[in-house]
Amino acid sequence: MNHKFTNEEVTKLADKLLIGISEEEAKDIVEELTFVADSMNVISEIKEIENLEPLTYPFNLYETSLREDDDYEEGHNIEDLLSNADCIQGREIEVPKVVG
Amino acid sequence: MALKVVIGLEMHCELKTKTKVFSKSLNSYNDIPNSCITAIDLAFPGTLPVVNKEAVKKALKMAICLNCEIPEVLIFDRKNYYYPDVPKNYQITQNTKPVGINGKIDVEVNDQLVPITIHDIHLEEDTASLDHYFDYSLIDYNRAGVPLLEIVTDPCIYSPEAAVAFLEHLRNIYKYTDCSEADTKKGQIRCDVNVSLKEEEAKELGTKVEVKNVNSFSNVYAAIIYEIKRQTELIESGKKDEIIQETRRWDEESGTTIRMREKVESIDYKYYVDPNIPKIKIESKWLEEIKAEIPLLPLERKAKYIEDYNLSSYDAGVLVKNKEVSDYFEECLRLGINPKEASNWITSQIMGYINKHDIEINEIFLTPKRLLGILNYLNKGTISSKQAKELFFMILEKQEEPDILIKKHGIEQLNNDDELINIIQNILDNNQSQIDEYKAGKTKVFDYFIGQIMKETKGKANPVKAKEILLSKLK
Repeated sequence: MNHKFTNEEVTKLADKLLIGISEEEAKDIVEELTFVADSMNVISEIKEIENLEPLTYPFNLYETSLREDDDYEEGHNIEDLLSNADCIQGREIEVPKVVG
Repeated sequence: MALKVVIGLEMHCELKTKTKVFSKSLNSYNDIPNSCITAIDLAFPGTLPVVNKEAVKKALKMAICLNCEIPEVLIFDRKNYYYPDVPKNYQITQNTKPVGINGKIDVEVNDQLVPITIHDIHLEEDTASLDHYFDYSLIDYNRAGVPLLEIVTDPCIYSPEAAVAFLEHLRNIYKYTDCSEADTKKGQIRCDVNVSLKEEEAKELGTKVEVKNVNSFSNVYAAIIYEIKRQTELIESGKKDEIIQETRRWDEESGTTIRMREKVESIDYKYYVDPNIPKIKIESKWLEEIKAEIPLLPLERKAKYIEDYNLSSYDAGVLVKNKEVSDYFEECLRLGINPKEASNWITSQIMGYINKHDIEINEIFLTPKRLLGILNYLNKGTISSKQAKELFFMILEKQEEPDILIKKHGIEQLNNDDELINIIQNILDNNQSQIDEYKAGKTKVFDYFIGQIMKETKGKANPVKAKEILLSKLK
């Protein structure tokens, strides 16, 4: 994978993902993505890697124990949680209206 | 040019579990806003989702009921999008290996069995709920992480009636298997409806329009009817090009669908396997255990009612349409009530009452045991069928036991022969001219006498006995 990321490409991707980014941010992201791509290139150079099934989890752990549906956890303290939000109303988080 | 509608459905239904699908928060409806949330639901850094066994079990149960192929290994994927209702900026869902694919189920539409094919069934987390106000929205994360099952059909439904019949059938299966309360009033069911039109003989499907987030079956019906009309008008006026692949929403107030976004501009969800959740192997032994738990489903119960109890197809259909009604009927049978008698009371009196008052059968005071109380009095001849109906309404309204009401209000049939003979004789003695008319061939006068007897006994006379005595006296 020898892909070169560009500002234009990153801006287009951000637009697709509905994120507004400044030119400065786009530049930083290009740098980050280039670093990621370079790291991936190192992996790609491993011999016959294309014959291996991609790993999505550190171990091929099929015998997973699922969680029993018995114990429950009390909800977090609402004041603590809401203190992370910029705008609240009562117990809820307020956001700009997004549908017409 | 004859046009044919082609419909595909995506039905989302919240599963009934104690806790959420990936966290130990309570899965509870209508609690105080933002009270059932943990760090996992809010995707705080360092948290890890752990899959709820019960949610997987119920999802698999539905996949079995819909005759799906079930993979050996389940995989959860991330669907990436940015919207206030999804705190992680991605939703955990299934794309690679969902709980079921290639299912098929027959649905009854106007007494005909119509096959519906299922593309796939996947288990995912519900999103937060948003309340929209004039220029802002409020987010309640209680719903974020509630187990949600999405059932996706192929484009294989050809009428709005079949679409609704399928949804009702699915809702019944959810209830019969106890996988969900499947209550549309609680917002537990939401549907996306894909509608396209094509020429009757055409092999290719027309351009698909998706109507999102329709929250009741009547609205699904109305949205399909509206889309058929809108698309037909465009095609017939030569504006076929104006039907574009897009997402619309149902606007209940105007009874129309409104454009949300064009599909070409739609977001690329960039699905990928969730690296936080290991693959889940489904043991065949577990599947067998789940299968063994599945009770008789609506159509199977209906067949049993027709075959074993000799009920009409219509009555059996009414009984199984609602699980609670069917359970009520079965409880009646368990108590020893005659199936036909139970069916008659439920389909006429009880259904009439609950529909009129818009309540559920398990909310009424008249339990099967109390119905048995009425029927015991009726079958012993203590009360007449008219009195049984009066007692029925009294129990429902006064919420008192049949025995108490019978004593309190003196509801009893007059069965005493001597007493009846006296009363009838008295009436005849005072109505000589009517006796003459009767004897001259005017048989309708007989009913007049019965009316007099009922009036005299305040409706308590045993009608069969009264008729017998009257006949013998008039000979």
